[in-house]
Amino acid sequence: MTDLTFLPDRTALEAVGLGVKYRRRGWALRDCAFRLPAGRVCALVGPNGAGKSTLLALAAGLRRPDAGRLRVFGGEPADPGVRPRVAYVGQDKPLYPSFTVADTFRMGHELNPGRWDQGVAERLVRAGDIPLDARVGTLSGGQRTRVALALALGKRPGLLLLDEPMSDLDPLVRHEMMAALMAEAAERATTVVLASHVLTELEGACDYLLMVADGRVRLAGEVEDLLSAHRLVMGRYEGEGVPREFATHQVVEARARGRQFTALLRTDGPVAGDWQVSEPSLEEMVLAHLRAPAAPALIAPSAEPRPGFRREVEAA
Amino acid sequence: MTAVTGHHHEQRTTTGSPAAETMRQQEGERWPWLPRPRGAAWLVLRQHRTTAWIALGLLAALLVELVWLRFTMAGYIDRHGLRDACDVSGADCAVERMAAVEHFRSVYGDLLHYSGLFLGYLPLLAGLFVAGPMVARELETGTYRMAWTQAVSPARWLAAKLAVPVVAVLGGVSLLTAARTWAWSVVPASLLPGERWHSVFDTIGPLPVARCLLAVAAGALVGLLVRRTVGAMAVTLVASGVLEWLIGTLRDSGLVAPVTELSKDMPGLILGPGDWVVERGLITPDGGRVPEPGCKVGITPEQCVTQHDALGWYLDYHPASHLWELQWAEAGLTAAAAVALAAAALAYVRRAYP
Repeated sequence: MTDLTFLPDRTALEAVGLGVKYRRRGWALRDCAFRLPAGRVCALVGPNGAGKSTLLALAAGLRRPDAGRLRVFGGEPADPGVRPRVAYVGQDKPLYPSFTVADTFRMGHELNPGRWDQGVAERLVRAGDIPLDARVGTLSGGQRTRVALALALGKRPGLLLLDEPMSDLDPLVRHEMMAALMAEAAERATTVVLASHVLTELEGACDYLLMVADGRVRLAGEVEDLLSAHRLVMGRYEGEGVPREFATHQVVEARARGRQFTALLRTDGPVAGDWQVSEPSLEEMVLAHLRAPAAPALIAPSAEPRPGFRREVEAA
Repeated sequence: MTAVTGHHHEQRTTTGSPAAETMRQQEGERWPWLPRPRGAAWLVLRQHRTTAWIALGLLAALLVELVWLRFTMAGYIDRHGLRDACDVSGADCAVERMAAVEHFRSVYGDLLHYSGLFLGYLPLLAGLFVAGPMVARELETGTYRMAWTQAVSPARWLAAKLAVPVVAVLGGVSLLTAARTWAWSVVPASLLPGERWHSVFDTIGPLPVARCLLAVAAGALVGLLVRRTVGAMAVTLVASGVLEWLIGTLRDSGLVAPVTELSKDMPGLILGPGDWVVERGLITPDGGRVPEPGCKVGITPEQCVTQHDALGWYLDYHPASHLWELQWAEAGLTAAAAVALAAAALAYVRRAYP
């Protein structure tokens, strides 16, 4: 992240006590508190049904929370000053099938007065060789994704919310599209929240991480900070339970395969003993947390909601 | 990118990027004097472009037909002296006049009747369309999420979904009902017994407009609540029936006070050709009313009176002179119900969505 796009004084997303309850399934999100500074590309990860889509729908102003508050650029997601600055691409990428690509962009122009950038939108579909007069209903899944992304980027959003957008693309196109997306986002310092299962596609693209599981925030913060707080430890170990040297650290997850022992630790100082210690990759850290739902949450200081906002919500 | 906002053609003629060029072409340079829909209204019209063109074509055809019908009927009536038509079954009718009356009924009478049928079912069609394809389908297929995550709030989205059909109804149905009423009014009441004012009450005057407005509002509310295309249309079908019945009941319960006639003998249910009977029944000595007393078959009206210890019969009816008073009263009531349902739909969206 360059200094140009780093905007420490601005907050894209901020939540305190956030909860959403569905009539049948119960709480989809519960007591979530986090902050996402503006200008970041944030990976939103978690198992299926963890509340990722619900969180994005809240931020997009599609539904109201049942508890707590979520603020986007300091306002309610539905504020007339906020809604125009947020773009959203849903999991199933809903578009009007009877519209042509040109009609879809015309809609972007009509519904986003003063913001719409036809050039950005057209560039993205041209790169995918999609004719403007093609009907959306006749496009392939990947082409439709491209049109949906073009519609979102044409809005020139300050915050771009993407719910598993690349799931139906082949790896090559996914890579190309991710690059195009990141280039557009970097150019305007757009904050991006990208919900995804494909952890490898997030590595390198994202500098912020928000992990939810069971409706709660489990990890939040700069990817760098989170990674440096963890250590992957490997070695031979035949004893019962967890090695004694780990007592001063927090064990997120430990696995033994034969005599080979692997653990992810939240370290407090160097690890003693004859262990091979390394910084985990994003994927290793996330997977370990997915496998260990009981591990305590880790919220980096930059991802803590500001005390003022917390007091405001608690007073209400 | 400056040209994207350039839908005012006169302002920007120099910026010539290809993107702006396509945009300008889409805007359409034909008929520059025509007001162009913007924003969410543009979206609603584009979504239902085919339906809008079909409706417009149908409207034009029906208007031409009704105007032609009016002049042709007037000419025929004058030529054959049918201004004061005789009763076809009566003996006073000359044979050649009878033939003319028969011809008039089978040709022009049917045409006029069909236009009435169309106007009678138009509110239901409008309600079904708004409930299903316009509102519920977007909620069912999820496309509403695309619309709401542009700069348009759910409330404004719904307002456009209401405004476009309302404008269409106010423009189109007003013209249509005016043309039909104009054509209908040239026919003497006795010439077409099926087109007497109380038989065609729902399909003349301002009432079709009000009924269509009510159907649009009810359809929008049902579509929002049911959220399934087919389900919403089914519920709208039932709801229209209920609303129809409710408003009919309110009308008959004295929206405009009917004329009451008292008699010793049981009055017939068919008075003069221009009278609309609301209710018949018995009057008791304490002034109470027994509407449609259930006297068994084989009991004479006289026995019926003594059975109920009644003084005699009453008959409530609207004479032909009540037509416009009754029309405007029911249209007003219907329009008020439409406003209430539209407000309910908007309030629901505001409450249920951010």
